[in-house]
Amino acid sequence: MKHEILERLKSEILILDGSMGALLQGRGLPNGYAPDLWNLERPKDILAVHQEYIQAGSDIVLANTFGASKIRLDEYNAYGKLKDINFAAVDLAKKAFGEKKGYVAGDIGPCGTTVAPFGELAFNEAIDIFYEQMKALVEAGADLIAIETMFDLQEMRAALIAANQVREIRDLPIMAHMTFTQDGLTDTGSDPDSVVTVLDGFNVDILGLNCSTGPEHMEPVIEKIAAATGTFISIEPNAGLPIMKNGVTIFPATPQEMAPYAEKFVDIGANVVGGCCGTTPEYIRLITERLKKKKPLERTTPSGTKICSRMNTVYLGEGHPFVKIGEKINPTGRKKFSEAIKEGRMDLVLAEARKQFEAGATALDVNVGVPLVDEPAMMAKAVVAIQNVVNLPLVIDSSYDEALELGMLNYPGKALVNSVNAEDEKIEAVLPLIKKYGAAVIALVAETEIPETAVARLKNAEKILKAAMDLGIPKENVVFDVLALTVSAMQKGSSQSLDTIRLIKQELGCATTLGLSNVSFGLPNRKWVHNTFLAQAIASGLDSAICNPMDEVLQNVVRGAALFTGRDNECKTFVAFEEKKEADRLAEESGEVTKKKVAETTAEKIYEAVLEGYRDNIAALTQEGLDEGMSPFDIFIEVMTPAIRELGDLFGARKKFIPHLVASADTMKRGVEVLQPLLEAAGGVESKGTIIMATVKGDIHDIGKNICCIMLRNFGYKVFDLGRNVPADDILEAAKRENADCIGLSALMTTTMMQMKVVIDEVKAKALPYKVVIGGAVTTKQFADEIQADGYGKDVGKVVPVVESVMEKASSK
Amino acid sequence: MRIKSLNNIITIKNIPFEIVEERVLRELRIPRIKTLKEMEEQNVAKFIKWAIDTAYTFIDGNGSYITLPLIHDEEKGVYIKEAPTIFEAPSIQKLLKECDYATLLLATIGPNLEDKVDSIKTDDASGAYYLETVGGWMADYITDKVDAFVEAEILKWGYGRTMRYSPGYGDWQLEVQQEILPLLKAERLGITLSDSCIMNPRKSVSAVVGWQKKG
Ligand code: B12
Repeated sequence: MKHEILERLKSEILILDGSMGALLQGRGLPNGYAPDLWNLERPKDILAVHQEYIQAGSDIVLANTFGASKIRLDEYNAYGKLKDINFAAVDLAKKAFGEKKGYVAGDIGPCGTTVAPFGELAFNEAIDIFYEQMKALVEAGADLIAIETMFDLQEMRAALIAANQVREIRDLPIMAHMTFTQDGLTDTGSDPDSVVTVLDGFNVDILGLNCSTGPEHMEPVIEKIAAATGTFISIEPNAGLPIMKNGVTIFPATPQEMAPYAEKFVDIGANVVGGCCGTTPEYIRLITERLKKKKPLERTTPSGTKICSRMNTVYLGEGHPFVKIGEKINPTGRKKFSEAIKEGRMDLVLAEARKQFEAGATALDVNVGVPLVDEPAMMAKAVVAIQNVVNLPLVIDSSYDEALELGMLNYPGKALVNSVNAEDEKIEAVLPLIKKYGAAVIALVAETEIPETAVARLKNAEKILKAAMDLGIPKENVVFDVLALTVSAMQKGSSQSLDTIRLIKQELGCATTLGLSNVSFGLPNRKWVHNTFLAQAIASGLDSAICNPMDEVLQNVVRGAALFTGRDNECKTFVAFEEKKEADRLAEESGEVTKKKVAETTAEKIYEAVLEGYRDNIAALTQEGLDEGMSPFDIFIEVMTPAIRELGDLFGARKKFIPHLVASADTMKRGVEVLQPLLEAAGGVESKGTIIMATVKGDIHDIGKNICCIMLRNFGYKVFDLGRNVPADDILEAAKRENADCIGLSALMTTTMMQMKVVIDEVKAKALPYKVVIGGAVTTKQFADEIQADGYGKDVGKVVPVVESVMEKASSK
Repeated sequence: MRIKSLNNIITIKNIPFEIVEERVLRELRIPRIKTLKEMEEQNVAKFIKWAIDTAYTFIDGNGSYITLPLIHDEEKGVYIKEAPTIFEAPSIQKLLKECDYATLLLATIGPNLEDKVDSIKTDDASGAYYLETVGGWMADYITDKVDAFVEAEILKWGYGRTMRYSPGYGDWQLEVQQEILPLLKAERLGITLSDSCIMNPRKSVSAVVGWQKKG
């Protein structure tokens, strides 16, 4: 159906209204009271405000229903009046227009709480809340639905699903605004491109931004939006950045300052302009004056299929970089991975996600299909978890429709869904979901069997595409999987895949993909087989592949093939990559030059391993030393200990740092473990003493203390580490039990430092035979003296000397 | 129009995060370099990379905040009616002197990372150290993310913000957490308080930010 308002937007600029709240406050609306309630309580005031705006020039007026939804009305115990409030609002706005031509938008604000997975409100509940209000607005006769001030894409998605559902009651245009902060992103980090991708996925008629910042910060966002879509754009800026004056929030920009911005907005692509917080009829009057003569800018949507995560958009199509969809999040044939999923653990899924992301994947396929697990629940969990650690768009992959649905539901972006095929059943089950969630879909060009010829595969493609378009899914949202067959089994069918790519491009103009690894199945040297195929497929027009992004041959093929297929403008990406690689190589080489002399003897090698922290081969080296006849005592006292001492000196000189110390200490520990049985058999190295270590009561900061423990152990002390948050009594009890020589206390908070004094006072009062040394970032030498500690160590470099010195004093007494 | 978090707990779950090498290096007190690649000691870099990769699989960033009106009284100073004594410490009185509202906030990376640290501590002391350090910073990072939401709200209403201040800083006693956590329904984030007022998971942060009148 053609809507008048949309027809008009093709050739003219329409004007929205300004702030309702500010004017109502002027009419006595108390701070914190719900303006929506005034539709019933003070209808004359609402009517008057609308009339003021209409007189000023507004073509579209927002009904006073921004907060007239369940959760928000509940706060005023007015949920029972939801329908009345929304009906009254639309009536008043219609009445305000009188005979004058204009449109009433049912206004929808955020639902009042955050939506899962970002918040606690279940996604389906959010849809219901929006639907309930929108239904009332549609029944009341609103001309369009305007969604405003959404700060999270996920909540916007819930609203849009509801909006598309009420369109079934009566078809009306949908206008959707997000809020961007000064850094050009939404509060939850979405960039303009991803917002557009999601909103366009739901076929909104007008999209845009409102609130949050003044007009100057909106400009760059509008430019990005205008470049990303041909959809009409609506803008409602605040009257500048708010300031606080005498306890009231003021929006400082004057109507005269604002109006020029409105003109600028139209020049860069806006079709609808109004005002948000702080704007009044005077603003709208000036804006109307300036904009009424102006014509909208002609814009088009860039070609190709778009998918996105919450904050990253990827295009599939001609002229865009080839899309590498990582295939590794898939349990097929992987035992550990399957087990993790069975246990509901996401760690291996996340590890694969990170690895593929770091290797340069452009999107990630997510398949958690393990027999006998609740796949929909696992899909939801995986989709949510992966989003937290990578910002790549996801391809939701399952043979269960329910898993596909839960994946899409929990995905605050526009997903690619894997997959539908030409079977009627599948089409009927999957395509409505694609439509509902505004996603894109991978369509396999097969029915139950894979047709051999390209022509037969095209037939299947045509069937799916028609079904999709009948449902209102644009062809950009269908990506065809041309089916790469195993060449060793089906040589002819395999080459037909290349023809299928060309045919689909030519006949349907849709993007294409395929699962690459299949091709080489059963052959030796598989990498070369499927990568050769890949080069040919890219040459035939392939836009993406589900593949292993960690394969370097593949990466080179993709980079190289891009040069010949219009996917790497002026070879820039290729050259930049090679230059960076060369720079890295040179940097590495220069690093190696500074490396010092090579260790030759085993003793030197052990020394080097401890000094450098070569943890992995210390055990073997130590054993080698023993096999060569070195005494375990010599290795420990003459080789390892001096090595760690040298490192301590380097640490003192700020040439090495704590992580090195930790690596070395750990290395030494592993060496000593080899020596230990021999040392003990020979009577043992004389223990240098027994120390109780603890982070004091009330304090959880134990990183520093833990390092001190490792160091002390390496120097031959017997260390009992009591952990963190240890009460004084427990410390003293342990000291007694272990017959300790020394107590080491750590505290990092001013509030817990005094716990150290508690321990020391007790030791002094009872004349207990322990030395007490202290440390931790808040402590100082002065403090240590004040509470009469026996020693103080500023950092891990000091811990051994300090303990040595207090014990020496003890023994010399 | 209404302040979103006024008397209303806002919960933010599944906070996306990035573990930035430069920050990890800073946290590990390694000066001057920004990436692990630049480290001369590639063997140490390898372990740090392991800690980062592992942390990615064990962090579950969640937070919540609530904004409460401040009452200013000649005698009692500044306080909130929900918990009149928690701001008694002089440092907090000073911080909130010019403020109309206070936002209390909580953030956590969940228990998984520290459980992992505890499980490897004896066999892999250095791994435990690197991972714990990454986790410590990430608790701070998630707090920053929650704080960013708070800040956006504060600026939206034309206020300025104070610094973020936590129980345990200066003279602000940890005991106040006994009242702060219930105000934020901390158990919904899985955060509990021990007898000595330590939060569990320990990779959690509690704090206050004031809404400061400007000009
Ligand atoms: C990492 C960290 C955390 C991590 C803790 C991880 C862990 N397991 O330790 C997390 C994020 C969990 C955390 C939380 C909190 N923290 Co915190 N945290 C820090 C931080 C940033 C670094 C500490 C650190 O690890 N340093 C690195 C290590 C290697 O250094 P170190 O501990 O000083 O140890 C060295 C030396 O001191 C010495 N040493 C240490 N012990 C000993 C012992 C002996 C015997 C000897 C000789 C030497 C010695 O050798 C070590 C190696 O060189 C500090 C800020 C800072 N700059 O210190 C705040 C800090 C300690 N935290 C602070 C606070 C208040 C908290 C919270 C209570 C805040 C809150 N209300 O939420 C929470 C508590 C949470 C809970 N569960 O209840 C405050 C304390 C304020 C004060 N001065 O009183 C600080 C100072 C931050 C600040 N801005 O003020 N924190």
